[in-house]
Amino acid sequence: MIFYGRQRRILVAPSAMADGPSLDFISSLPDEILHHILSFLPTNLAIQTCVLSKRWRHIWRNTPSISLECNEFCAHKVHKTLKYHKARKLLSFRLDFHFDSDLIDFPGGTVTHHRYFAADAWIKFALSRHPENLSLDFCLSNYKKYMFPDKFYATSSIKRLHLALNNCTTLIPRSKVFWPSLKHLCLDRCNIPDESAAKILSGCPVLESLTLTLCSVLVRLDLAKSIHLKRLEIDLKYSGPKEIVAPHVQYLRLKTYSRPCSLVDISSVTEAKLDIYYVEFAKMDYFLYMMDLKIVAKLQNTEKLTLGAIFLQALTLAEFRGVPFPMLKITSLTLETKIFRYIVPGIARLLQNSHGLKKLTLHLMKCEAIEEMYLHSYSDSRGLEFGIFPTSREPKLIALFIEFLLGNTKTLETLVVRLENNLDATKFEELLQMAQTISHNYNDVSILVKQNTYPKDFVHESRIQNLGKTSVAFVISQILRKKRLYLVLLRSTSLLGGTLICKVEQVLFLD
Amino acid sequence: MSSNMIMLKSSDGASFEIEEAAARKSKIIANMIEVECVDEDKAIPLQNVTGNILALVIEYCNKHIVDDDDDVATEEASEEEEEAKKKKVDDWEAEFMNSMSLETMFELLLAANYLNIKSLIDLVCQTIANNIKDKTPEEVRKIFSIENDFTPEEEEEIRKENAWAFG
Repeated sequence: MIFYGRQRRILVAPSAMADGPSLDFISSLPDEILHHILSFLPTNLAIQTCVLSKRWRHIWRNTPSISLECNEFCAHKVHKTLKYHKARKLLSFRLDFHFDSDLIDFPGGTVTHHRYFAADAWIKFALSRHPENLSLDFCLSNYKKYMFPDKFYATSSIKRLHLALNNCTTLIPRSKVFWPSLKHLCLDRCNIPDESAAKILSGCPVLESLTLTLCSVLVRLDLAKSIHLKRLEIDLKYSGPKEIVAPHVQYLRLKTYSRPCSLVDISSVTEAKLDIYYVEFAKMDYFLYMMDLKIVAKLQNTEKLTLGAIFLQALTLAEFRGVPFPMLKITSLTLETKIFRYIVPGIARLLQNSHGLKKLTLHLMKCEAIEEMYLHSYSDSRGLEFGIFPTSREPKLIALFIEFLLGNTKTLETLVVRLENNLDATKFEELLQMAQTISHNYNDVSILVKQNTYPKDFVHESRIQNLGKTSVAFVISQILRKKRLYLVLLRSTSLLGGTLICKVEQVLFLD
Repeated sequence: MSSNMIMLKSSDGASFEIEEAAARKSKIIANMIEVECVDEDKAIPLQNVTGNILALVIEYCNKHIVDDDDDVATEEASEEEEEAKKKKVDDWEAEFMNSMSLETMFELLLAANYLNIKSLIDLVCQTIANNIKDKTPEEVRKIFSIENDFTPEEEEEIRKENAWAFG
């Protein structure tokens, strides 16, 4: 989130005027274009253009978007901005307010409003301008009784609604909800009782995507009647739905914590991304029994699947226990993880049970995982042992892992290895050589090894050398950083005993 | 459909050949094509756009149509690939905007507005807004050669009136 409030600056008194000979093009633009330009600025900065010249004095007042932030000390700014703003129709209205006290002081000492009065007034203002995008981020600490005005729940203009309530108030529509145009709903830290969720969902006939981030109170999320809802993203930590019924959803992203969450119906999901928050091992144990393979078993129609490190650890423990692993129809699998021992058996089983797998992406990244010692003692206590990848150095380790992945699939066409923690040039070259050697044994698979940043700051133009069916790619892309362009020149690639060699020849810094 | 070429003629008489798919980025031209007032061998005259600006508009449209084609080619683009592609487009756009003078930028904006190419309007407006952001009014005046036609007293008055936004 961007905190525009911090960008305020003290202005110096007007000094010498711009004496450039060029013409003032911007001021000759039509009003509506100037409004459009200002709509890309936070409102307080848009207002500051009023002193530029007479042409600009009132331009900001018709900007079709409002974006404000405030706390109890600057409530008067919101109040004044809204008072002078004249656009009849708003495309977007965004307001973040974080109040710690019940009363708001307006400077001058004449008016003191109760903060709810202010919140109501601002929301009513926003609704009176029929916004298409509405984003409200409220933090009314230590107070739980704020009720949104009834009108809020009956707004036909809203297409996208983002509501962040920091778990400080509960959503309770008193009457029917009527959001006939709402397509994208994002609720962040909102307390939503089941009845409220049902009311809200029944009032959104065209809802296409729903994001619930750390929402509490909700127990059962039933989306059976939301027939247009295709994307569902849920982040569950300490609380949140225990049961999800989402028969129409096609894309599911689910990140859970220690609580079990039962996916009653996700039969249309073709793409899923699953992970688990870091958990203490004690909770993990319980959690595993409750849900892991149950979730996997629900992915009958999933074609694209992405799994995080802890999820892979969980699969491994399930494998130890001998939990029957379902057959999957996935064609594309992405593993977002580090390489460590306690994901190996889980991945092996996953690969062996995915008979249609065409593409596998290993995205090596920094990530949280359960400490090995816990998992180790767990497997020891059950007399289980496996010693793959004991203590290899980085390039060797990755190569071993690539070999392990290839050895467990029969149908694979593409293996992509993305390195986020980059290897230095020598090690990367070593890895490419190893990948090349491995690929001789797996002629039907093209292996791509990519790393984003090279040594540290500069990155990448692509070089792909085709070697029969097997190709190894060395990807270097460019980045623009602080307007400085880093251009990396590579010495032309050469083949040395079937191995692709790329060397950074020169690095140019272009200002 | 992508092989269909159409001709555009700028206000100063320069003709440009452009793929129909690229030209459709402009709602005005797309509408003309829909109602079939585009003659195969006649160029569409654009009275409000000069040749040098039209060349930029076409460069932009071509770039964005190529990217759309890429999407079709790699039917199953993964999230990372899409990310990389988006970054590539972003970099191209940044470079594209960097390469032109302010004056050209405003002409391009007017042309995009006239031709109704929403994504190009947004790109130019965002670039101009970035030039206003984090600058004092004095700096903004200097960048855009805006003449301050307020007397010092008037300006002081307006600052006072809007003091809340300057705080």
